[in-house]
Amino acid sequence: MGTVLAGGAFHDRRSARASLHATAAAAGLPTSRIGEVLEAVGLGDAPNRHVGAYSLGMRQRLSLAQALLGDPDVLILDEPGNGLDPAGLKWLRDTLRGLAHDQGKTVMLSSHILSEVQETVDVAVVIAEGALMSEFSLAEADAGQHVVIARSPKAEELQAAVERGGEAKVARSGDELRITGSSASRVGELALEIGVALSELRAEHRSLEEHYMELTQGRGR
Amino acid sequence: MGRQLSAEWIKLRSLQATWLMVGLGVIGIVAQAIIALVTVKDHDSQELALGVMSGSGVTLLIVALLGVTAAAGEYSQKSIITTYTVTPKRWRVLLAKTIVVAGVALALGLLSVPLSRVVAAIWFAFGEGSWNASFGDAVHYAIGIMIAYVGFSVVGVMIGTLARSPALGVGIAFGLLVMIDPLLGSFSFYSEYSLSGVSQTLLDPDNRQSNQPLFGSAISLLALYAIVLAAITRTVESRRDVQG
Repeated sequence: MGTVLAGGAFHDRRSARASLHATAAAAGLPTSRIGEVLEAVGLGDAPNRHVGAYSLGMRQRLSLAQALLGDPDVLILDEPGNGLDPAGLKWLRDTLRGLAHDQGKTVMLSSHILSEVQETVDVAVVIAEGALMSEFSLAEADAGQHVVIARSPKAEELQAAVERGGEAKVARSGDELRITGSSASRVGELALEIGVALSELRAEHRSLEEHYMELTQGRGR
Repeated sequence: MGRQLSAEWIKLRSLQATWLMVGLGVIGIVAQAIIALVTVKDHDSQELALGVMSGSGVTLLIVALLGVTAAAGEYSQKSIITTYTVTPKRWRVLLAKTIVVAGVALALGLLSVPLSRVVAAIWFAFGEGSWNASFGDAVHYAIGIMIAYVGFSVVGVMIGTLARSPALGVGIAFGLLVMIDPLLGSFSFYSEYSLSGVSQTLLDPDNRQSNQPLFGSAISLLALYAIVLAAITRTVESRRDVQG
């Protein structure tokens, strides 16, 4: 198991290579991996620089390199995106997804930046006040929870048509309908069938943050 | 245990501060020898040879501070989190760190008498005087110096682990070893048990004063202090939070 429990927890006056060397020695891992993991996280050109000269993002990369030293099947990462710039976040996202999908590793990460989590993970586990609140696949959650926004001069007629199906729920505000339990394509088909013109039709996906707030009702403060 | 020893050695040797302190320790040994050569009048006496061989108090303080900074630096830099993640048994880390720092102190102690002898030989080559001490004297001094350096380095590691901050640890070690202990040592009830008395006996065993412990007692006292401090440190360290 590889872990990043406190990203960037390295001695400022020690080089990246020496830091990983010490960890490899303590864990009984081959030192030949040090160069490989530094290359893998993009620090291959600065292995002998003192960690104190690294940016926060570089320290995060070094933390990930350290976690990868033992080529673990399972990675546990605590706030791995802290301090990363947008390019670094994209790199982290691609790297973690690559580790999971291409190399078959199990990657678990904890983060309070839910928008970033939503972009990265396949399955989310919501924990609030130490209790497991929910565990769900983001793909499934997204499919079942999105809202279809439809605008039409004849919104009332469209609402009635949608509600006749029985499964969808509709909330109307002026010419705007907010429909849950249906899809944008189905609403479009219905509009065509009853001859109602649409000025707007889109699916609004619920964010993980909204999902989290609903599950925890703000308890996770 | 071999893994922890290896890791701690890599950590210690990979810091420039370690080598700076070792360098200062060597300078302290040379300075001690030169001071004896300059201050002792009779350049053919045994007093001069013993003075040259006697251990450096500066180096003694430096090995203690090496222990403090090696241990406390891990906490202030938070690298202890990685250390304890890899080796959850904290006493193993503490023991390995202590052994490695003590090893460096032992090396300095081992170097002390031969280096002092070389300094004296160079001094004699350019001036007057001769070496007037037996091999037995040299061994006696070497043993005392090595034990003193190792003991004080262990005390330093424990202070550093308890303090968790290099600045605080150095302050405590400096205050204890340079101010409080010598001050208390001026009182007769404590002088035979003081760390300064112990160090003076071990660093210069043939010049022991009446208020200083005997050589064997000094070794026992230093071992006792180090063991008690290590036991306290282990107990405290096993119970408190890593970032506490």
